[in-house]
Amino acid sequence: MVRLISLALMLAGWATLAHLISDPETLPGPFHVAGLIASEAFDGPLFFHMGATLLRVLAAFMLAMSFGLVLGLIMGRNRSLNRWLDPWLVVFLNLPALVTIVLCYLWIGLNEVAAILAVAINKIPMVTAMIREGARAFDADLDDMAQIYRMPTWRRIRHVLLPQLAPHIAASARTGTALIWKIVLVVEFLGRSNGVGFQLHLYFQLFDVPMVLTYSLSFVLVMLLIEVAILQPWETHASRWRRA
Amino acid sequence: MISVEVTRKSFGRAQILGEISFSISPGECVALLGPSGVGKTTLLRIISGLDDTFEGAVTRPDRLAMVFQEPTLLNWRSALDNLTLVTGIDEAGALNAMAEVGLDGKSQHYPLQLSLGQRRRLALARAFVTNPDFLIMDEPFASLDPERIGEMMELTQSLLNKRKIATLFVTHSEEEANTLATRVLRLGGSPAGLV
Repeated sequence: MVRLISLALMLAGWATLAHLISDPETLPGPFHVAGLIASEAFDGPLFFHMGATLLRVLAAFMLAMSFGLVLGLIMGRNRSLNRWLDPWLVVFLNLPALVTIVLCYLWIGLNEVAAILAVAINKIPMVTAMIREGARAFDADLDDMAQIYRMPTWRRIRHVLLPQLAPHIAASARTGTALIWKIVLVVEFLGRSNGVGFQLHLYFQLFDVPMVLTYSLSFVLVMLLIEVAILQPWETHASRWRRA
Repeated sequence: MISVEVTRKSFGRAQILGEISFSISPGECVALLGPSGVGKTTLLRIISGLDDTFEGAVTRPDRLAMVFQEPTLLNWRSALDNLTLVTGIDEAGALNAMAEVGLDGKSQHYPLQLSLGQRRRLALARAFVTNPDFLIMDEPFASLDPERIGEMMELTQSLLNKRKIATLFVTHSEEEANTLATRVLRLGGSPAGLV
């Protein structure tokens, strides 16, 4: 309830400001933007561009989570390897996203592989760092128990290790999604010919503020929907035993 | 027959265990007594195979079960899953084992929905359901109140009586040792040895 009121207050503030400025080309009101979203959705290419961006978000997310999970687990469980890889992790954590994107486009070319790889490279270190912390906090007694009862490797990973990592996986997935879609927009802005980022670039060149807001807000809505409909329920499901 | 021949165990430069030699026959329950910090758990880890960085040799059967100081359960799985997933036993066998330790009707409970005493019973059921040749218990009644300790000792005794298992259990309680064990070993000194 508080969230809804807070959101309503933000919209009211936006509407008031737009009313005071009275120039829709500088700041259109929320109803104006809502109308544009509907028109782009039903008569324009909104879904096409949103689909292209979502596919890139999904691909980069899968890549970043897979590599980050494996690397984080290895680094969290193996101290000597962690000592070797930690400096690399620090370097990549501090590498600006823009640098990675530009270098990927220069080295690989202006194509999908470069775009997705650039986003994933930006996210992998963050997932790795979060999963490593989770792996370091593993319950050593459970390791002993699994060894004593000779649990098969896959069963041990699935039922002993991954559930302990679940809060860290969920946290990195949620922060990852938030970060990835923003970087995807930059990648599209700089070097793709479709996607929400490409549309933002187009309307930026045309100084079209209403359309910039239309595309950015519609994608924010989609990402909020993913957060509420997929990520939060999954996190709740994964941690249901804590509330039992 | 379980045979333990440890000649030395050190952590860095600190030697914790000296020469320790004993054996346990099937059906025998041996208690290992000693003050806190003497090296009982270290010896238990060596005997169970969890620690292989020692000088000496241990002969143990393949079918081994262990009851830890804490229940050491998968809190994110039901009580039933804690038996089936960990030991590979089928559902019927797991339910029987739970009934044997007085946990009927609790199969779908998560461990955190059970009392500490019930969690310890579940850990005991997990150990016995594997039908082990060698059972190791590391202070299995720690942090229970005296009434529950009595119940748990009675339960453990009855479970052991039904099987011919070689058992080694660590405790610092003379009473627990005298009640459950057929033989008592005392660990003491520095580095620790049998006294």
